[in-house]
Amino acid sequence: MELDPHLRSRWKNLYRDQKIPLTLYREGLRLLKPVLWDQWISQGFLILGSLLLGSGILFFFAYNWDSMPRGAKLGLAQLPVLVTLILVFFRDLNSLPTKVLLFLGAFFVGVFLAVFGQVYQTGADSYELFQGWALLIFPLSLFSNFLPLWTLNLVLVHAAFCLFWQQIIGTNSSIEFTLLFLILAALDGLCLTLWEYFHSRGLVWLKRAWARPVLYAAILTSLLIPCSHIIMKYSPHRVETSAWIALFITPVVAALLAGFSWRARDLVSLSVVALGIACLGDMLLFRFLDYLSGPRWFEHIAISIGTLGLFCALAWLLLRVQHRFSEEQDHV
Amino acid sequence: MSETGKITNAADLLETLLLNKKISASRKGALEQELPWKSGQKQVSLPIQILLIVGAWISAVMFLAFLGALGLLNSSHASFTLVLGLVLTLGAIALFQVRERGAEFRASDLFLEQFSVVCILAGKICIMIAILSLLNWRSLSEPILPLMALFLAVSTYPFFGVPLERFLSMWGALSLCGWHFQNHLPLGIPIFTVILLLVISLVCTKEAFDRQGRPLVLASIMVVGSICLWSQIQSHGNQPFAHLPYYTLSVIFLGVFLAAWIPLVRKYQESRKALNFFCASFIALVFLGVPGLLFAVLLIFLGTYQRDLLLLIPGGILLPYSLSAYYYLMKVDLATKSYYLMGAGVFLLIVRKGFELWKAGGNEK
Repeated sequence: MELDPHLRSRWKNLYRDQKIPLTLYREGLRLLKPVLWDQWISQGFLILGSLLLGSGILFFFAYNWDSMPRGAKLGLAQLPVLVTLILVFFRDLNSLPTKVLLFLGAFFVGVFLAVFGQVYQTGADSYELFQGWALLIFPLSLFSNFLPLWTLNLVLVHAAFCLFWQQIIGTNSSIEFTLLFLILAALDGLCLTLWEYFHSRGLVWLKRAWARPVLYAAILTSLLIPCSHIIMKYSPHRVETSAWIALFITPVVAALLAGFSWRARDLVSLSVVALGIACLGDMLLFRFLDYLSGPRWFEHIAISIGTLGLFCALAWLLLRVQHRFSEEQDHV
Repeated sequence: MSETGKITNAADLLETLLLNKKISASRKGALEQELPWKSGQKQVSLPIQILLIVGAWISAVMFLAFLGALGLLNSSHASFTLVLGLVLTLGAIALFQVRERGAEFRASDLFLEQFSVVCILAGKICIMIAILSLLNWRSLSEPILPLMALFLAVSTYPFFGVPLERFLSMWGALSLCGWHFQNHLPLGIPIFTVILLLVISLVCTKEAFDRQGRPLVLASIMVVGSICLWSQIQSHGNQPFAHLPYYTLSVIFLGVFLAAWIPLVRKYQESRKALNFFCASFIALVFLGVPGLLFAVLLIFLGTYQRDLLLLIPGGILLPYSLSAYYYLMKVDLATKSYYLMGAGVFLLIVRKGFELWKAGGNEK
């Protein structure tokens, strides 16, 4: 079980209200969440150093080396990929420096593909860069056991898919536009299902608190975009079945996600769902008032009060849930 | 306590303190009454606060649109707008004070609190519009606007304790001050930055960084972060901050970092050597000339010290963002920038390796 997130603030309140002395407050704080400065400095330098090195190499290839021959350019761009992968091969894959090295290697693959595209002018369909990058680093992700690398891979798949749809299929008609986001939501849903499955099987490297809310936010955003499209551009003379499907699916998916987060006792994910529901509700309210065609001032004040009421009602529900979780934890 | 021996709730904490002989059994009994969550207590966690912030923000904008649609934000009704602004501001403060004194936190309190935020924000904007209209204010060189915004933010700060409103008011006022300094005082921005950084460091190194200081610190972070990024991007021609060398900002960061670091080393005596190591490397980063990066590291450092997500998140966002802003810095060409960055990255990795070896040597001894 994880630490009650409010215990630290309650401990702090006791010190502020002068109910405990400073020495006891510090001791409690040390027990609740100790700051291991040695570890912090070591990890911080590793991440910051890698970030600066990676950015430096990216900047280097972004510079227009006009006088450099093509072969040298391509050879130089491959060098960081090869060096990082060779280093990874001889190191323990479970250590953080190796994982960071692997991440850098995956990043350099993208730099190499960009240089390749620049040299051979392959930039007509920009989705090809992201598609190639995502495919090439997929094997690295598979045996990396490193969530940030999976996240990079997923972001690249999203970018490649969106650009492919935009450049090859198009987003002019409503069905094309809606389908793009429904497929993206389904893709994120699949990732969430896999994450939940392997997480429940006890895979240690998947135990990151941010993964679930981030995937929830991605799914709900993909669903809310076509919903906003149908709500804001609704016309009784034009029936857009695909957009209506998105509008009906969204509350069902939101309810399912809320149920999962309730079971997992995950307040952050539940708040993401609440924010999604609030946005949907607000859009419906906005459209309804616009449909009534009342005076402008009435529309504005009604939206102002309605929004406040909706968000506060959801926040109140979440507060009750939060208190219930806190009570449960106190009684364990 | 959980199977792993980790502290997860109030009972675990008190039990461990008793076992470590930090508290007596009677003290433990007394704290058992105080520490667990009690019905009617108000403790809003960060995700719920974010939900409320989004709601209050949309609502405030629509409320202002409502006043605008009624023609009340028009300069021809300046006296009426002023009265309306005062009524809204004072009414919001009264509503907040009455609600604060209530013994228990109820569902309606949440709505009223957010409603008072909407009213006070609208009220302050009405007051500013009205006073500017009454003074027939035309020239932007007059410091009336930043002074008025600062006065309104500071005068309501102690009486209206909703963090969102405190943050928005301070952020608005400090941004206006920064904008005024940048346009009218040659050394205004460096001095302003030093003041803001001292505020951030002094409040963040306090033992119990609390509700009172947090909005002021976050507003200062937003303004200093903007100054850093602007100084990196627009450092040429007649653009803003053209006269401000970004190295000056880097040196300022160094000074303020040392001010925050010295009390910390005193507190964490056992990690003194590690912290000295970190400080030495931080000084080396100043030569890179990316003030946003230094500020991000400073925020992550203070956020870890205070174990506060609201300091860590801006630091984590600013770090990659300042590097992408560095890409557009016109004074240095891309190749030179890439050598700087690669050099700094390799330097940090070597320092880390040295640190690990030094630690291993110390453990063997």
